[in-house]
Amino acid sequence: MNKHVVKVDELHFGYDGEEILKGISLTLEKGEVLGVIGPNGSGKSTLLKLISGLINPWKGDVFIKDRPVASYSRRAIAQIIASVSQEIERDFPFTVREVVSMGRAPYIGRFAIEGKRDKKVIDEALELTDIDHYGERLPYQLSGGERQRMVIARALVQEPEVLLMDEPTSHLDLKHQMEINRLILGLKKEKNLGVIYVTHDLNIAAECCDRIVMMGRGEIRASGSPFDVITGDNIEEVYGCRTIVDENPETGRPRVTPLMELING
Amino acid sequence: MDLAPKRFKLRMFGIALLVVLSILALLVSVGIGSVSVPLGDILKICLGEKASTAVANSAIIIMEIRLPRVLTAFIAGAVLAVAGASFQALLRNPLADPFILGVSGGAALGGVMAIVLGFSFDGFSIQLFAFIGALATILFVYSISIVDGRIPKYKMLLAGVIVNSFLSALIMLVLSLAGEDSLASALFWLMGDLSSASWNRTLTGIPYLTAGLAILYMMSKEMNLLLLGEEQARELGVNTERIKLLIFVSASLITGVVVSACGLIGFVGLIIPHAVRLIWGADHRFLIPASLFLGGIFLTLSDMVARTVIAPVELPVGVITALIGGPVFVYLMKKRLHE
Repeated sequence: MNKHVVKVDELHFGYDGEEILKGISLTLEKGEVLGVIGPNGSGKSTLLKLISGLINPWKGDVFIKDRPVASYSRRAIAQIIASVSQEIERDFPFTVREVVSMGRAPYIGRFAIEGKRDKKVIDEALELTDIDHYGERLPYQLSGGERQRMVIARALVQEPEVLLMDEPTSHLDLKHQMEINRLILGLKKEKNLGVIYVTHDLNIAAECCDRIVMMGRGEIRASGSPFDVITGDNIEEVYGCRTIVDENPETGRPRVTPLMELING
Repeated sequence: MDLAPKRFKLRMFGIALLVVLSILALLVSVGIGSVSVPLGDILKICLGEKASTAVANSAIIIMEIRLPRVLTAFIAGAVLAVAGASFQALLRNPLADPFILGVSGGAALGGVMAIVLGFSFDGFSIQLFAFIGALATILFVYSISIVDGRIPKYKMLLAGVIVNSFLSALIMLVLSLAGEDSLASALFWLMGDLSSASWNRTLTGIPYLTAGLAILYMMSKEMNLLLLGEEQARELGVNTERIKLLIFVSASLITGVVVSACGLIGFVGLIIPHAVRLIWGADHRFLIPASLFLGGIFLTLSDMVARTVIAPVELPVGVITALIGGPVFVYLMKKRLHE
C-alpha cells in the first residue's frame, strides 16, 4: 500500500535527558531528494542516525519499507541504506579501491571473496564517480573532492535504495561542490534513489531538492517545496538572519542572499 | 575486499614465499646450536629414516631439545603478531600491541609470583600462575571498560594503560622483596624466555591457540571495516559490539597463553603487522595470515641468535627482537616514505 521507502513518525530523542528531537515526522519516496536544513544543533545529523538505526529513539518510530528499522539486522539495513559522511580514518593504508569495495561487505559471506558481480558493481561505482584512475592510490593522496567521491562510490557499491548525505560538500570548493551535487541528481534519476540531503547551503537546497524540511530547535518549522520553505520569513524566524530571497534567473528556484544585520543581536 | 588482479597475485605470491621461508627458518634454526647438525641429517631425522649412530645422536638433540624450542618460538611469534594486528584493528591505534590492554601485566605478575615464591622448579607452575594472572586481568579490564553493554575504545585503552602501570608497580614490589636468585630468573623470564620449552608444554597450548587464531582470521573482514570507524562499520552492516568482544577475548586469550609459556617477548606484536602493511597493504584477510608467518619466522630467527651469539650464555630473546626489529622497521618506514 505504502510507497514510502522511509517514514519517520513522531520521533523523540535526546542526549542526557535533554530532548533534541521533539516529534519529527517525515517521509521519503524513491527517486526524490529531500533536503533537511536548519541551524547548527537543530538535530539534523541525529535524525540521520535515527533513520539508519544507529541509535534508538525515545519515542516514535522509523519505518524502512514499511518495517520498523529495529526489526532489521545491521546487514539487512546496510543493503537498503547507505550513508555518506565527511570523515574517514586515515591511519591505516587501505587503497581507494579497497575502501570503495568495503561497501560490498553487506553482501559478502564470511568466507567468500568478491565475485564477478561484486567487481562489476565496484568498477561501475568508481567510473560513475570518476575516480577509476585512482584505485591504487591511498586516500590521503587524493584531493578533498576526490576523497568525497570515494566515499560516495563506497555508498553506491552498497546498491542502496536510500542515500543519507550529511553535508557532503562542506569542505569543498565551488567546482567540487557542483560536481557532487550533479552526481547526486544524476544518481537520483538513474538509480531511482531516495536521497536525504542535509546541508547548510540554502541555495543548493533550493536548487537540488524536490522537497525540503526546515528544522529548528528539534521541531519541523516548515516543509514542502523549495518555494514554500525557502522564504525570507521562514529563514528569519528559524535562523534569526535577514536575507533577500528572490528568484534564480536561470532556474526559477528561490535564491537567498544573506544580509549582514542580525536579528535580536 | 576487492583487489586489482595484480595486487591479488602479489599477495598470493607473498603467502607462498612466507610459507617457504617459514620452513627454511625452522630447518636452519633446528640445525644451529651448540652441536651443529647438517641440513641433510635434519631432513633424514624428520622423515624418520634409519641412519648411522652419529645421526642417531643428533636425532635426540633435535627431537627432544631443538625442535620443541624452535616450534615454540615460531608459534609464539606467530600468535603475538596476529594478536598485535588484531589489537591494532580493535583499538584503531597503530601503536597498539598484544600487551596494551594489560594481559601481559597480569601474566607477568603471576609468573613472577610463581618464581619468587619458589614454585619454579617444574616450569609448569609459572605457566599456570601467569595464565591465571592474564585471565583475571582480561576480565577486570573488560568489566571496567564496559558501559551499557558497549565498550568504547578510549575507555578500553585507558583501562588497559592504568591496569598495566598498576600491575608493573606490583611486579616491582614483588621483585624488590625477592631474593637474589629468584630475582635473576624472574628478570630473565620477564624479558622473554624460551629455554624451558618442551613438547608437553607446546602441545597443551595448541588447541586454544588454533581456536583463537581461527576466530581472529574469520573476523578479518570486520577488522577492515572497523578501521573505517565504528559508526561506518555499523552502517556497512557490522554488529560492532559483538565483533569487538570476540576480537578482544580471542586476542587476549592467545596472548595470555603465549605470555604464560614464554614470558614477555616484546616488539614482535607491534612491528610485524606494520611490516606486513608497509610491504603488502592493510587488508586483514591478507594481513592476518601474513603476520602469522612473518611473526613466526622473525621470532624463530631471533631466538636462534639469542641462544648462539654468545653461547653458552643465552640472551633474553626480547632483547634480540628489539635490537633486530627496531632498525629493520626504521628502514622499511624510510623506504616507504621515499616512494
